[in-house]
Amino acid sequence: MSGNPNQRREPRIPMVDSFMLVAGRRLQLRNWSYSGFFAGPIDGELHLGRDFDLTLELRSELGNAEVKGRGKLVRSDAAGIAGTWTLEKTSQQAEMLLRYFLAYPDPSALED
Amino acid sequence: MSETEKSGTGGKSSEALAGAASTVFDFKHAAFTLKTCVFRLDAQTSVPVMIVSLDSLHASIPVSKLKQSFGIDEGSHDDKLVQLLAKALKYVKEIRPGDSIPTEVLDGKASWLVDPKYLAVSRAKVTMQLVSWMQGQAYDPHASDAAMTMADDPDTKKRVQEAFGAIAEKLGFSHDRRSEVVDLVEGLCRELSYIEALREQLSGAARRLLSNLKSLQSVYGREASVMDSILRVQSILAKPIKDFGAALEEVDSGLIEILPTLKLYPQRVQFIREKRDKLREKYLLWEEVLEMWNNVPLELCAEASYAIQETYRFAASRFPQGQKWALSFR
Repeated sequence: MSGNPNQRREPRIPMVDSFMLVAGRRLQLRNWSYSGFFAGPIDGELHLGRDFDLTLELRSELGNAEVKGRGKLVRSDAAGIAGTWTLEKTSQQAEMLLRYFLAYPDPSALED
Repeated sequence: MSETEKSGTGGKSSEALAGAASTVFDFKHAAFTLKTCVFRLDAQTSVPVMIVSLDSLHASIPVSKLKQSFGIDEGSHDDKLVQLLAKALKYVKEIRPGDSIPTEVLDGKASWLVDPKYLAVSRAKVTMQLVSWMQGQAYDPHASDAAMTMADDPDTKKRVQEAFGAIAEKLGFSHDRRSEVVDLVEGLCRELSYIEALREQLSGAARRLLSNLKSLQSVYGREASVMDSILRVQSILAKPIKDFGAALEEVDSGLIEILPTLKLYPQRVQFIREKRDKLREKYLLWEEVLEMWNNVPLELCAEASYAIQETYRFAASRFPQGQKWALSFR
């Protein structure tokens, strides 16, 4: 459903207690990466355009984060929605923090 | 007695002092240079966290993860400061890079100021202890109103001067070192002024909160859901509020005799500071809800309803039913 993780350039991180807010709905975030996501299942109908605003609510032992971004739908069915996404406003610091939640950051990312 | 002994710093951990080569949180790592970086206790878990807010990303990272995740070297300047964060957050609500390290962590002194009226209360009480000791009578720590009145009495002041001389003799000081006793007593009064402040601002205010809730019971008698919240809050908060009183009672009992207190001054100061810091930590937890109740009308109104609900939210989140009250005054 969410594709073969091994074929992706950015490895997907499976999540247990995280969510994606989209079109007024709060879907369980199943996995995500720096550029992709898979969230669901979807109870009822979810109407999304090809591009849409999204918010990731990330919760893990690394901490909590709320990330605003812009999503692009690749696939949608009852199991969930899968697609790509980018940060709403990106910066070197934001990218570094985002990568922290995917693993641990490269401290050199902060050096000017 | 050395200055170190007088200041009562002997009990502070060498670990904390080692980290305090700097007196400010002057982190070197680039991660701490983020403009919005702030350290707080997580509102839900009370775990120390670093909070960063950027345009499209708000993150909360446990302090315990910083060293590993940002590649901070063991024993480095930043490592020592990170280790101090959890201790420091017991005394201040938030810390930003560049802030001073709370003095409680550095040398045991309080980093917060007390109103002079609390110093006046502690002076009056210590004065009455001195007079009681001179007269061979038992001192009653609860008679604070009487102490305030009697402390200003010229006869009392004369007896206090006599007590200084007699105590100097008992402590084995020569006559020309009588002024050291005066300094010790003044130092004791300053240390106890923080306890007096907490007696009023924490224990007193918390008891007034319970009293206000009791008054609102009759007002909200016909509002079943609000009434239920009032009763639950009273039930949940009764024990922690009682514990504040018990902790203060322990301080009073531990210092009831003036001569042993002055003989063991550094240890007694350390005892007072430990109790002060634990009570202060609780005060920071309660401060918002206690201040909220300062101006709540005790009548059926939106402000009272809001205060009840917020207090219930505070009580339910901080003292979950079935969980043992975590305050430990040893």
